[in-house]
Amino acid sequence: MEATPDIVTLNISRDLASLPVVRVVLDGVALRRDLPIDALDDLKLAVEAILADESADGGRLTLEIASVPGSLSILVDGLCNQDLKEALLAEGPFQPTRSCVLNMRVVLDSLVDDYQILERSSGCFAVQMGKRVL
Amino acid sequence: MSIGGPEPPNGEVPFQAPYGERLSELSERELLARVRDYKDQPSREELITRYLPLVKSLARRFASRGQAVEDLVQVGSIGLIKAIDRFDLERGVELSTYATPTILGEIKRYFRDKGWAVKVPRALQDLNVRLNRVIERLTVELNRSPTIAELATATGANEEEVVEALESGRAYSSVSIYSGGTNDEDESLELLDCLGMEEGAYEIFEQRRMLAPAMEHLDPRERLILHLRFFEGMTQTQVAARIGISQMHVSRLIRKSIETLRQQMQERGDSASENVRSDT
Repeated sequence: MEATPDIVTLNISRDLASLPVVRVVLDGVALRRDLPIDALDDLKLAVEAILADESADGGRLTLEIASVPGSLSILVDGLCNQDLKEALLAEGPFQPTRSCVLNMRVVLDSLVDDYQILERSSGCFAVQMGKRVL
Repeated sequence: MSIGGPEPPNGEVPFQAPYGERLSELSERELLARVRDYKDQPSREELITRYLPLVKSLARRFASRGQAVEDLVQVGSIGLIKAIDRFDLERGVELSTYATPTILGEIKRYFRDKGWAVKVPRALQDLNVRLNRVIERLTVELNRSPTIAELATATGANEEEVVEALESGRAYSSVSIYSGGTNDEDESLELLDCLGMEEGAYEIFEQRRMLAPAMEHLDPRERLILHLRFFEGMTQTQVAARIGISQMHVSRLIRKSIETLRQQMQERGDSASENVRSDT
């Protein structure tokens, strides 16, 4: 029988004022899963990079951290930064824009083991990331 | 028994120097005895004057670390005064021997305090510094980055304190004694040697501008760290070992570099918009 995932869900405002809360929650999950601190820092950096250029206007963001055997899954939902989405989906060379100055494919490729974009009917999108836990 | 004067009145009565006496002609021990026995201010000032060149010399060692040397001399002087006031004449060592680590300690403390961008309790700062060392040790022992629980066991702190101390590290600026040429043990970093090895890969990295434009605004070490982390696939711990700094410092420098890139790009965007407006 598959173990039930341990899921923590945060509903946060879009401004970066909530980032410390996100970090503390990630600390707690990392502690529970015995995640090495550099892998923990990778996850924090990935979430920070995704949220960095998100507009403060709009609805709330949802962050869901699911802990399953062998991995952690992090879903950042309610994202509206279309430049970020295009940068993550693009196959050609990176073209920086005002709302996405970093090559986020390179960033996420380095920080997490896998990621995918989930389209939402609202026009927003979500980024789901996975990190292996030994 | 006192040295160089009558029986001390426990500092309650000022020392009466003999008429015509020149402090500059007194020995160091005579002056120190007057400070100890009478809290004699002129003797203290004479000692400070004599040892100020030592303070200046020690302060100059830190001249390239982003703080004015005059400020460091001021801070080092506090260390000198502490050394004079605490010096034990019975120990049989020279004041210079005792004062040097005290002065250096004061200067290093200044850098450490200046490095904290927001007020972080001293206990947390100290735990953060201890964690730096413990992380390095455990990384070698375990052959991987340690977990929070392992850090708690190793430092004797509880897990919440470890998390808090790691988080408080974010408030630490890289403008500290631990940056710019030294590692966390205050040893020379020999960064240029390190950069020389990476130069080829590095140029390719810059030419391709894969991570972001504006890379030229980062210093060589920051560019190297981004290259190793994002293109060589090294973990923060491996980057730390390669560069000779702590994993926590690597983490801070990655964030600082990304923030710099972001700001530079925003500024470029702003000036491009300005140009478009002025053209129309």
